[in-house]
Amino acid sequence: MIIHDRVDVCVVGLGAAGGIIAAQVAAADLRVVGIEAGADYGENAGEAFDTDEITYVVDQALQWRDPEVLVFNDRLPVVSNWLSRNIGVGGPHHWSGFAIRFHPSDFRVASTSGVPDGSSVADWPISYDELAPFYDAAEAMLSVAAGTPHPWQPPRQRGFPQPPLPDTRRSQMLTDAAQRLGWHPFRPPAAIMTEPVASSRRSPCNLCGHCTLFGCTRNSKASTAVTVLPAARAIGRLEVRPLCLAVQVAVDKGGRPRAVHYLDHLGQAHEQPATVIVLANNAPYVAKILLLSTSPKHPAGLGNQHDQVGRHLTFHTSTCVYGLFDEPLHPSRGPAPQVAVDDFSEDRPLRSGADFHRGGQMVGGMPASFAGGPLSFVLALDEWLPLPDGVPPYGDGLLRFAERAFSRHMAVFCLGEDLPRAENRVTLDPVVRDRAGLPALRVEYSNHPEDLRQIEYFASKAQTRLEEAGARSVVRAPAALPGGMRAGHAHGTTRMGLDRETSVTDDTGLVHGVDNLFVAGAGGFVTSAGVNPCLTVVALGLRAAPHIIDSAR
Amino acid sequence: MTAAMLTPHELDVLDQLLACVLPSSSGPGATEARAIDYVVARLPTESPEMVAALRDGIKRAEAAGLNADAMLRAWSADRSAPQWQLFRRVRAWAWEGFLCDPRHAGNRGQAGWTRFGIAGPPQPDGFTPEELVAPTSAVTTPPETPASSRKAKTDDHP
Repeated sequence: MIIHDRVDVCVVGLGAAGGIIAAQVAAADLRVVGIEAGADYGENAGEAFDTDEITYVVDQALQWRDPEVLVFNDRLPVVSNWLSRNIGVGGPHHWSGFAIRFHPSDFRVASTSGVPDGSSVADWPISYDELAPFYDAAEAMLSVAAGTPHPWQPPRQRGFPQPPLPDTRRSQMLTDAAQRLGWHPFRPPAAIMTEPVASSRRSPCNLCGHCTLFGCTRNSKASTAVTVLPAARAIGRLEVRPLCLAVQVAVDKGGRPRAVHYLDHLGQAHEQPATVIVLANNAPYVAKILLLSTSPKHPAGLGNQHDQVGRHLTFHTSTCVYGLFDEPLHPSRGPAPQVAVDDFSEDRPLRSGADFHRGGQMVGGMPASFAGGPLSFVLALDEWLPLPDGVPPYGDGLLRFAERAFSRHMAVFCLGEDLPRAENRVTLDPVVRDRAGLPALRVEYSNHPEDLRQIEYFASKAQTRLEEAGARSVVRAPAALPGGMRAGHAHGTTRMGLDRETSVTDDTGLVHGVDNLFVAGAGGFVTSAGVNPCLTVVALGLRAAPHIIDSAR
Repeated sequence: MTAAMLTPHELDVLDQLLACVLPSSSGPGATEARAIDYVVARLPTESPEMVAALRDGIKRAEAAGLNADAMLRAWSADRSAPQWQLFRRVRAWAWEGFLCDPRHAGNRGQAGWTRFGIAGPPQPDGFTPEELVAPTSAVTTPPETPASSRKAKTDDHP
């Protein structure tokens, strides 16, 4: 074991939350070490990236790949790599750039919607109003391109820092179709630079369409590598340790966290003592570290005295429907954030007669593979993306369909709020081991019955919209797990709350029962909301940073 | 296990399997793109278990007198059978070898990209806002190639 000198703060995971917290801690003149599983792409990360689909889609260079034991909807366990565990110093690199605020009601679901039977719905310990200033700061930090107004837009005090992304032919078609249906389409805000900013490392987007799963070659898409980490590195108070896998948090005899144990890329064990520790890696894997951190004072793992670590796991429901058109639409051109509809978020479907609580946002215009070029599209076909009736699984019929559909389709995705359940959880598998020889993560998740009704509702709405836009035929992907696309968003597992018996951390991410261990990221989410999580992760990180700094002083 | 663990005969069978997945009957397919070269380059990174399963699958199929086309038909017949995983692997290899960046040894002469209407590495220079909203009749169309001359044949597809 290599034992390093003590530092003020050790941050595990230098992504959307950890990168910002590390930068704020360094700016406060505290010494911080960042432990990151992925590579360090430097201060001009875009130079390290390209649009190669073998690298980013087949080999998934921005994903950590470990076996997980998956038990979905009471099916038999399957060992696979399924959780989207995005890596790389200065992330998020992989994301689509949707930078959307939660609605005020998303923080008060129990109060506004009630607690459906069989769910563990609860209110967040913070409100939209408390987080709003941090949303403002997050949008400024990410240089968010403007969204257009819509009736359910969360209240905001400031304008957007950048002009909107341009329309595409598909966004125009879907906008027109939605308006004919009486819906309220809008341009979603995106953390993608549209105008140059003096002294920024970021260039305006060139609309290449390689957002999701790819690092941005022009740094147009925001990542902490190019927004906040360069300044933190320049101060000389941040040390980055890439290609290092955090394993557990070591405690002293009194049970107080004192160090992070991690493995470097050669498998060598290290210990990094720190006054304050922040776990800001992928949410289910934060839970794994806590569960592995057993000691006489914490026999079930840190923060787990009430068996809450790993519970209330949510993923979003991801309903994908794609339409086939006669005309070329070239869906792989242009960024993913094109057009959204908020008519089916919060409890609007319920109020209009649907039989489920909480909906989600519908976005569209991108390829059914969500991003990338032809290889991304064809590799999804007949895997999670069904083929239309009559198209064979191989042969000339498949090739001719794929060749034509690649340029003549577009998709509508519905990102739904899945209801949390205490039974949906991650634990340590007793048999299967990960690449480091540690227990693999066991993921047990069953959709609440209302989720399944929501998926059907969204699929029907998406089909209606695509047909209104002129689709000759429409194909629905199965969205109930294990069908559908791979999970992009994992939330919960270290739930925030005021009640120590039903949560893992307080509203700042401080783990109950200790005074120097914080959790950051989507693990604290009490409910999943029906929008992309990243902007809220960043805002929560900005809100937590002063508390972390105070604890380290 | 490396490509050397596949015999020349096994590689030849694999080449035939790739050609059956993406045949050349209506334009360039896996053969023209030299998808097999991509697979040979990738084999060292594949799991030994998967390569062993492929060898075993080929051996059993040939013992039953199956040619490449019959092999694919048998492997893809039952999605719950272990052979389905072999079929998925071979199909993914075919697509990857057909549409990868040529630096990975497949997509020779950009045969796959050309057939899919991609001129060169996918969108390295991006697009202008005008190109994104252009009426579809004015949107850049695939270059005129042997593939694009097949359009009349593909119109009956969705």
